[in-house]
Amino acid sequence: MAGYIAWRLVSAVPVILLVTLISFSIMSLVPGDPAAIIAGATATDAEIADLRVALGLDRPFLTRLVHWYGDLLSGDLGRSILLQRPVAEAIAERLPVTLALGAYALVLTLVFGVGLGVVAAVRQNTWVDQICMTVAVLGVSIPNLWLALLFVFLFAVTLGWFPTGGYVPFGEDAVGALVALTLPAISLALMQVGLLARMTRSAMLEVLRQDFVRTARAKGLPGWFVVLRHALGNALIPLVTVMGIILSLMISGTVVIESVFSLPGMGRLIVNAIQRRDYPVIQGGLMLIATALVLVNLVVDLLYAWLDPRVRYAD
Amino acid sequence: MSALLAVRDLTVTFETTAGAVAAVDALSFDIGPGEFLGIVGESGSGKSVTALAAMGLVVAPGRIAQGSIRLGGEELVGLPERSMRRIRGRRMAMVFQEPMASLNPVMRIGDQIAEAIRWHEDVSARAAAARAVDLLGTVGIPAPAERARAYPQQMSGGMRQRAMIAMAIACSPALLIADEPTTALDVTVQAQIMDLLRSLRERFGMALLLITHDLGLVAEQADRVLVMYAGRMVEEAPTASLFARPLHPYSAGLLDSIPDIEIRRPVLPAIEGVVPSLSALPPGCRFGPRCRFAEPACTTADPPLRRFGVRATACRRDLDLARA
Ligand SMILES: Nc1ncnc2c1ncn2[C@@H]1O[C@H](COP(=O)(O)OP(=O)(O)OP(=O)(O)O)[C@@H](O)[C@H]1O
Ligand SMILES: [Mg+2]
Repeated sequence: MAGYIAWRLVSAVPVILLVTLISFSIMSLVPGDPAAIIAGATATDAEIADLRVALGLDRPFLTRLVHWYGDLLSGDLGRSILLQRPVAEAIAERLPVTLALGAYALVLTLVFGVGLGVVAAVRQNTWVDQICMTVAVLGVSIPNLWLALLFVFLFAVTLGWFPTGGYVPFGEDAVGALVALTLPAISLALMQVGLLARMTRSAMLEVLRQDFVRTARAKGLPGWFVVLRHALGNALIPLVTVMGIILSLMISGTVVIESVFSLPGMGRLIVNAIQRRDYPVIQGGLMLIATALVLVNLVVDLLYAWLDPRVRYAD
Repeated sequence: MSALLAVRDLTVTFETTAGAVAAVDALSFDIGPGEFLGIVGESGSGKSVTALAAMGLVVAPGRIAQGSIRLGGEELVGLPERSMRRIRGRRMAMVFQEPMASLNPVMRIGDQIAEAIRWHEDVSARAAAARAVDLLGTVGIPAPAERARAYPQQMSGGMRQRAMIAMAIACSPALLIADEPTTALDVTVQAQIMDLLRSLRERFGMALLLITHDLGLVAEQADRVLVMYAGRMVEEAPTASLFARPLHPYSAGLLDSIPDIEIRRPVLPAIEGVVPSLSALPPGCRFGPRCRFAEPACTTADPPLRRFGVRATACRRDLDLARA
């Protein structure tokens, strides 16, 4: 097991190197002169030249690459042209919002996705199953954005239960923060709930008809215990892989959701940066997201081994 | 002698696309306390379904359509799940055919045994775990404390089946049902498991219901044998009498096809043909189309089960055959 973890950690390193390299290269890959594009149509030649120096574009690619990695090691992601401050600082300020939103949505996804799937599987082919799966299909097929707008209209504008947007830092008002994040988190979770519920249902149906479930019942264990301890314990293993996909979808989903609910998170930071061609921010943000995806996959693999002794003890 | 398990007129049906079929059809039998009963028959004769019905584990699309199953006088058919749960694993336990598939692959062996104890008895987790280790020792697993922490896939087939048996006897049931416990194992391990079952039965005074398609397995040990064919009982007899003189041509066929060389009889080919599908049963005697002794009359009426003292058979030619 220790060897497996070590191997997975080591094998993540080249992927992260590649990711940083790609993030770095985007500025050199855009057609034309990035400095001219960033400066805009009205800029003078002198302004463009200054910008080129500020961005370091006057130096050769390899020199810049070495510098970028050097800075990266010391936690320096460069300066934002637009915000006039270090990119790392801007990200550090925005990241907690996105993480809070993501964690909230993840909890909702897990509780409702697994819950609906288990109930549907246990009550297979009954009206309960039908309702659960209808909810799941709706969740998958209704676009996140549309749903988010619907929620804002219904719960925030019409009923006034939740704010229409904005964010309260957890440090100031934990309850207020939770309330503010509730609608965004639900909107973000809904699509994943549908996906996870359907995957859970099929994984559970597969496990429930296996012999060891019958053995568990033959021991005289209560039905709910057989379902949760024996069946779900096995069904979670294939679901871990699905969780990797779900987390990836959620990372991209935050961009849309943060814009709709005007949350000052990473998603909005990157969208704004793209609109205004603030390359240092785009680079830093992309690198962070890509690294997060690599880490998610790493965690999923480790979780897989932790849940399944057949992987853990296979030598 | 009052029976430990008394099954009367048990019919278990399965809803299929071709309509309901009776996998077990009007079956009646008794098992006395401490008795060893063998149920024999080819694949699809309804042996497992009978055992599952006794355990209250028949699930949709199957259901107990009629009949009565009494354990120590208590009616089990129609018993609420809550009450049935207290009987399963405690007064009546079951060992299944596939020891690999029948154990939870992500749970330690010791935990799987201990949880059976904890749901039936008021004991601490630590005491249950200690008893699980003892039980593994009882069923002949070496280094039981170490093995209790193993996962099923770390054990051999024979060891897994021993662990299954340990799990089944954890709460000292009065009746142990073993459904083809050795079919998935190789011959030497088969003999060891049968020895284990015999010694456990002697030691704990359990009644044993052994399901098998191999008459040879019950030959030396079972008190009585019940032969099933296509959901029906076709013959019931004390083991010695059955082996000395089977009354039903199907039992005779099964006896002839025992491969064991110790029982010195000329080995004839297995019974020709296959068990009929439950949705397309032949008219008259269900065994008729495969029977060497069938006469035209056999296809007109279904032969009833007739009792002769401790024996019973469902062949209208039994007396002719007995004399032959
Ligand atoms: N889940 C099910 N759905 C439909 N029919 C079933 C089901 N389970 C059993 N049956 C029917 O019951 C019949 C008897 O099955 P059973 O498992 O009792 O046979 P068996 O005597 O134990 O055979 P084997 O030696 O193969 O274990 C089968 O042939 C099948 O027609
Ligand atoms: Mg069977």
